[in-house]
Amino acid sequence: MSWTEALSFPFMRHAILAVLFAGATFPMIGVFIVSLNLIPLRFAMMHIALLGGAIGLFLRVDPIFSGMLLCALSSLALGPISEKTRLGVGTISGYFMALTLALAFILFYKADIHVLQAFNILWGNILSLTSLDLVFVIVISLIILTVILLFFKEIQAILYDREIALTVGIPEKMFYFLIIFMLGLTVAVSMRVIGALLVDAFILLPAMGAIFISRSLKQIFFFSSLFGLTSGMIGLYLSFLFDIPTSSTIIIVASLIIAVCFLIQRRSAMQRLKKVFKGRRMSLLMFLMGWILFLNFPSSASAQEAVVASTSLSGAIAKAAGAKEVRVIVSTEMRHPPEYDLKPSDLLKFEGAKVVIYGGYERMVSKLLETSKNKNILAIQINTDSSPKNLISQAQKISKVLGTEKEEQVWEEKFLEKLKELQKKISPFSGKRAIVHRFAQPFAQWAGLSIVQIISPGELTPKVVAEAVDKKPELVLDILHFPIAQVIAENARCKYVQVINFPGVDHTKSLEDLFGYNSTQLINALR
Amino acid sequence: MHHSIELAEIFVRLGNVSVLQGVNIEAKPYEFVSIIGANGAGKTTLLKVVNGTLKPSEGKVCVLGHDFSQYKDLNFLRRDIGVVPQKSNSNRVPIRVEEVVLMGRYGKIGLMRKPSKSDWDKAFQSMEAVGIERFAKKLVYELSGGEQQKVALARALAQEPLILLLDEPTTYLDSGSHSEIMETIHAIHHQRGLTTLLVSHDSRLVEQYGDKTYLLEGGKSHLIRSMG
Repeated sequence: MSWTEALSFPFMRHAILAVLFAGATFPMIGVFIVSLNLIPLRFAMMHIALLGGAIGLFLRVDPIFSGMLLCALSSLALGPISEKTRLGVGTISGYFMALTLALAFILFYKADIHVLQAFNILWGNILSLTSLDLVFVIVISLIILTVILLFFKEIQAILYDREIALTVGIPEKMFYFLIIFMLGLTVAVSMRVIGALLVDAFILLPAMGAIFISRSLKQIFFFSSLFGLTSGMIGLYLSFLFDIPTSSTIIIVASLIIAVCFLIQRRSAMQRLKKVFKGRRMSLLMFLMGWILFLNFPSSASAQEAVVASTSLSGAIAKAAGAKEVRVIVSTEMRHPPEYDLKPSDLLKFEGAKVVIYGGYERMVSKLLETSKNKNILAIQINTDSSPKNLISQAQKISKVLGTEKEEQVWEEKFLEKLKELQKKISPFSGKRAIVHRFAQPFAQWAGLSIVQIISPGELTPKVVAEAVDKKPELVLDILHFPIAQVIAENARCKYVQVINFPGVDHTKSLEDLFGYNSTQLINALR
Repeated sequence: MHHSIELAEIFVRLGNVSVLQGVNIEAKPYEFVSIIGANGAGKTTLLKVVNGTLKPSEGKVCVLGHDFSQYKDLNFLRRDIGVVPQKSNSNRVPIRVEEVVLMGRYGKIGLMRKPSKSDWDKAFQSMEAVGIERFAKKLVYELSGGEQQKVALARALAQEPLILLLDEPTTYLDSGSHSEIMETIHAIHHQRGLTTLLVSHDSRLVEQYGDKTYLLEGGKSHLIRSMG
């Protein structure tokens, strides 16, 4: 695929525009963070956004909106609070970080919100930017640029010494609070839009590199912008070229730029570097760079019958339904799927595909669909409850869309036969008293365990643990992707088993493998 | 005629500590007033009260005829008060000496306006007055503590203040340079017609200069010497 072809994909155009704006202006916020030692504020904002998301989910309003609103309000309040308490913004940020996280978890618990669902909403990825996300980035960029251009001399005085800024008659507090407000807003937007990983790459790393080599504040702002822009564009290009995760690639390029800046700062090291690149070596380097520039990008697969699945479980259900070619986005289920760093080929999986199957909790799918060039793709949301009955009904649902009812019928018979065989093996253990993680409940029911208590995901309370131990269970059935209940097994001195809901662990691929693996875990623990 | 600086029964509590407990200080226009006191006597706190960056818990502060209790924002007044702080700047932000001295003009220039040629001229005149014009292009953090203190003095002068507040102006200087900088300060005080308030722990250093000397002890002020 050529450059022009690559640019025909909306996700690529959005990513380039975001890199242009965020790359050029967000590092300027990094200059404030480094100069005024506000790093803890960046972490506080992440947790405040999480609490905002939790409130949104609790009140049934858009969690993204509530997350960003809470960040904006908090960043307005943080400066004055730190002044009143005479504690630095760093210390106050630590306080807010702990408090908001605790409040968020209590809300998750009380409102029965899945923690991953909340994280998912707040953590974006640069390859899945919608038009609205892009508007956010551009607006924040313009605010940053305008404030710095209009008030450069006041900002310069504050970055040099807040006390001096105050004594010469600058409204220092107003500007300091404005800086904190912009910082809060930028972190909130960038986390939501370009992902937690890239917050540091775009905000902190270029500023650090610029400070190493600059001889004035103007130079710092200029170089931080330049480095943000360069690492963003080169990172995006390389990730597309070699099909590697984009955010991570951008971070690596930014880190390399910092390393070079550090070397430039140390002149002796720079002279050695010059010797290395002298003469022929330099032309070799130029050749390599030219070669990379004219390489072709990987092409998208174009099979018309392809099915895109959001996770390995959706993929396994699609296979069961008779889909011939299944392209899975998050191939092995991670413990924390929202952190999955997309690579360009993940986006290309949508091109030419007929159907996308997703569970509904992966927000990225709807964003990816919006940014895809393929507007004919049919999105099927399935119920990912892992009881055999539900899995079969979901496979039937998909097969009707794909027109593969016959293939599904064949699979169904095989699947039921396999389950019968497994049930025979685990029958000696049926009726065992079990404390079960809510996500493992379908398997526990199928296995014939006697469920004495169900544990909800989220933090356990002492009361829940005490009640569970009192029930004298013979085993605790936890979920590998989100384990919480080991403490109950330890206190009740009973067996502890982790089962899976997503294929991928221990070479499991199909739904049959899933039940096979879980049955083996149960047998090994109870034998 | 009003006093340039008038502090009456000033009390300052920082947390649970009473730093100032009834301080009375007066400085008439063009007077050079010295305040001596041991470390921790509250000298720096006192200067912060004078330039309005610290609000006393009790007492009356009146500077250049303005009673502080009448104003919410004292920025307009700070533009006429030059401050030379004791601490040297430990910030690693690369800023040239000339830029720091020019900062003295920022309050007077106003928001969203660029420094004019006349602002730059005033900054250079201040550097010349203090004798640091040869460092103009150097980065502040590359200078010694003593040189940085001179930069702070030049910045305060660039402000064209009516009042000059000096906090231990010889801290980072070697003993040989003490009298040199004091002579410079004294000369500037007279040439520019300033009201100067200088605090120091070194009584020998200030006794030959001030029109008036106060001793700050136990949170209270005592007038110990007056030329008038």
